[in-house]
Amino acid sequence: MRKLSNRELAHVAAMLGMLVIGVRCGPEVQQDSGDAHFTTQNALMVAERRALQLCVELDPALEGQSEQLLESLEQDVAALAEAHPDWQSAGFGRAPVRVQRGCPGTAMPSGRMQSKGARLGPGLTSRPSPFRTFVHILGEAKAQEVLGDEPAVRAHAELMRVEDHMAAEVSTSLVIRASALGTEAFRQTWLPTGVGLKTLGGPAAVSPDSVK
Amino acid sequence: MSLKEAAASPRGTSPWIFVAWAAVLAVVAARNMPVAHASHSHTGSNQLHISTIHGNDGTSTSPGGQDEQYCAMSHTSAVSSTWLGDNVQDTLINYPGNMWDGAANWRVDLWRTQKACNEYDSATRGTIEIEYYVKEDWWDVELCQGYYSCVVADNGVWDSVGGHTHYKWMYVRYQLEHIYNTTAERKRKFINHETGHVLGLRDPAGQGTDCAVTSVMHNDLYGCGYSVWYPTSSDLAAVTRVADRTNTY
Repeated sequence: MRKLSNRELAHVAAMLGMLVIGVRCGPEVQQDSGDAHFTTQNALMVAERRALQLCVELDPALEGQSEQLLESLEQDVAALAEAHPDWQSAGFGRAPVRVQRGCPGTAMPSGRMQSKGARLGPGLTSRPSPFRTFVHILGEAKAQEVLGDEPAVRAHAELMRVEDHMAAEVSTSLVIRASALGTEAFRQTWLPTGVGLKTLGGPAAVSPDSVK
Repeated sequence: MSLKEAAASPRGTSPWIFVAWAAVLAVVAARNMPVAHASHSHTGSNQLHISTIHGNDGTSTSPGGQDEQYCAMSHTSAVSSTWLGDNVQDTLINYPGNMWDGAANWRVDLWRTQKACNEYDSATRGTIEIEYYVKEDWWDVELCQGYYSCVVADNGVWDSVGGHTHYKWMYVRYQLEHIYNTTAERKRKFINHETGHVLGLRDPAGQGTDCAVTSVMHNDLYGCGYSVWYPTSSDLAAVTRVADRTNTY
């Protein structure tokens, strides 16, 4: 085997140096940042969500009825799963639905909520919670303050940035009266809206007097 | 070095050195080559859009449930809600061939409400698909901050026909300086660009990228070499594919 000359050794050293610098200064290979991935392929909205999960915040005035209220909500969800034609295609049938106490980063609503465009929850985030729906159940006194005469209000709980200057809701907050649980209106209108499904029936929409 | 070797490599360098250098340079070049991005607005997935885009059930004199109603609301004393509504309306419906209204064989059918967004009761406002806002800045909206006009998609609903979630409500927020005290063309660029988002089109991957296809989504405001202010034939075709459910998951 021929021995390398000093000149050749210098070239080899330079090549190695070039390789090290060239590779290290190149763009980073994209690593998994831990950020979640937005998806429209199912109604869970976040690729990392494997099941429909709802978290529940209770008005402190209702604390004594928490088990009963959670059970009632679970029955409503089960009824919707049974009745809604899109339940399976939306991806909700993949795993059992989970309902649990405590929503991340959320205080109970206070003051009158807007019925459109309101936010109740963490807002813009790159790592949304596993919960597709945040349910806030209010006693009558609190409901009067927050909802007024509205039966319920929906708001966005979490948004993900999907473009530089565009974001989309990935979790919904549903603010309801405790007395609404178990009602047809809740099962057919508000609960489907809260999980991103079409409503089942309900009153015809009122249309404003629009013009061209 | 022999005379023969010197003749083969006049400067006294072995041929394998050139080959090795070429290989090293190829590796470094490949490592540093800019990443190519797919054309943003005419391919791909996750093209968020307003839920009414797939149908058209209105008449020539009144909107149907599958048409797109929009209202305007100013958050600044510099311009009124009526001024904003007038300008959005002008851009959206007064330039046949160069406007969004009528796109996708009238599945994009835009109707302006007669009052400002906040003048409707909640039930009625809930039926308005698009809300346009304007303000000096949007520092209270992290997505927009002080520089960008932006769009938020709200009230997602599953479309079992297309197998995707689309959105019932879209909120378009304009920075005042993007549409006021500026040229008519620049104003229309912003109005059409943000409305393009509502209809499913995306931003380019970066400044000066995705310029090959002329689009209001990546004109000179995004570093491309053309100044188009209206939806181009490519944009209209892309929106048609969204409406057809052939360009989304």
